[in-house]
Amino acid sequence: MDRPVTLVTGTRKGLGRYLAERYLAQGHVVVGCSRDASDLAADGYHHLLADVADERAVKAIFAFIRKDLGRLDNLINNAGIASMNHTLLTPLATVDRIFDTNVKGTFLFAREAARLMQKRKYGRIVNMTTVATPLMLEGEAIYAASKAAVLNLTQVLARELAPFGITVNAVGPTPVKTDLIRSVPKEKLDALLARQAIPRFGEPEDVANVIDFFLRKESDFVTAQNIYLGGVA
Amino acid sequence: MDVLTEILYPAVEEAKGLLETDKLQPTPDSPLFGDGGLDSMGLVRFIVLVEERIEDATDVALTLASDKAMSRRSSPFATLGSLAEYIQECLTEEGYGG
Repeated sequence: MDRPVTLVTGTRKGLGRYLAERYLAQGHVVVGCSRDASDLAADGYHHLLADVADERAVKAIFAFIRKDLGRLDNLINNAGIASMNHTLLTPLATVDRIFDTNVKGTFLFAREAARLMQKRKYGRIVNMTTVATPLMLEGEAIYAASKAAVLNLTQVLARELAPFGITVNAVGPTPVKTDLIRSVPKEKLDALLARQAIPRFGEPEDVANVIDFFLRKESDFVTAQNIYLGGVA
Repeated sequence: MDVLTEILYPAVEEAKGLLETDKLQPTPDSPLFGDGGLDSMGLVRFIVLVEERIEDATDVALTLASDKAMSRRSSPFATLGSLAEYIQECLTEEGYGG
């Protein structure tokens, strides 16, 4: 079997669903996961139920990949949640939830993926950051902080995993019209777009374009990088 | 279960190919780390192999490099024999009686 195996987290909807379909169309075997069932049924697609911060459930996904698929080429740590709220009104439970999914989830999947990938001395890990971090968006303190942690995690993992032929990079989308920004008021989004060099919403294709680059075999000298979209630096 | 013969010695055999090292010998007093043993990255990768083999054999997902292991006065990672004893202890704690 020479089809690359690509694991995408959070594939039930939004960007994750788009990425799963994209890499299936490119001939990858795709393993997807989410907390709820998926209606995506396609040759080469495997969907497993998991909360990305649940270590036992995450380990079960990787046991499936190791035993049934035998290899893992790519991990796209797509699953993420946000919550827009002023700090004065943000419950600690929201902080826990966001850090569990965005930071712990990213770490858990990267750790387990690297354990598999190091055997073949090859792997590509792509994490998701956000322009909310460099733009220091008011109302997004915890979300932005969680993604700042993901950015630093990306850079340290890149160094730790480089000896195993594994690259670790990140892409930081601008707002893309998915459920993640459903509750953000229009004037907030307009103000955010105005701070981008290219003031428009991102499209799933914009994000995938960067991921495609990171996943290329030829990108083996590209690691610890983070690319913000829309001209945010 | 005999951890040495069922888990660790097969892992030593696998490590020969995967880690390209013949430093480990299938004997209880074979040092795991340092003089006569693996380097630090080799040890990390060997532990990964061992954890996989434990899970395959017992369905128990152990994390060997735990705080408990790291805080011991005598390291469980000194020799294959000490690692075997530690794994047996962890499996017993997890309720594995096979």
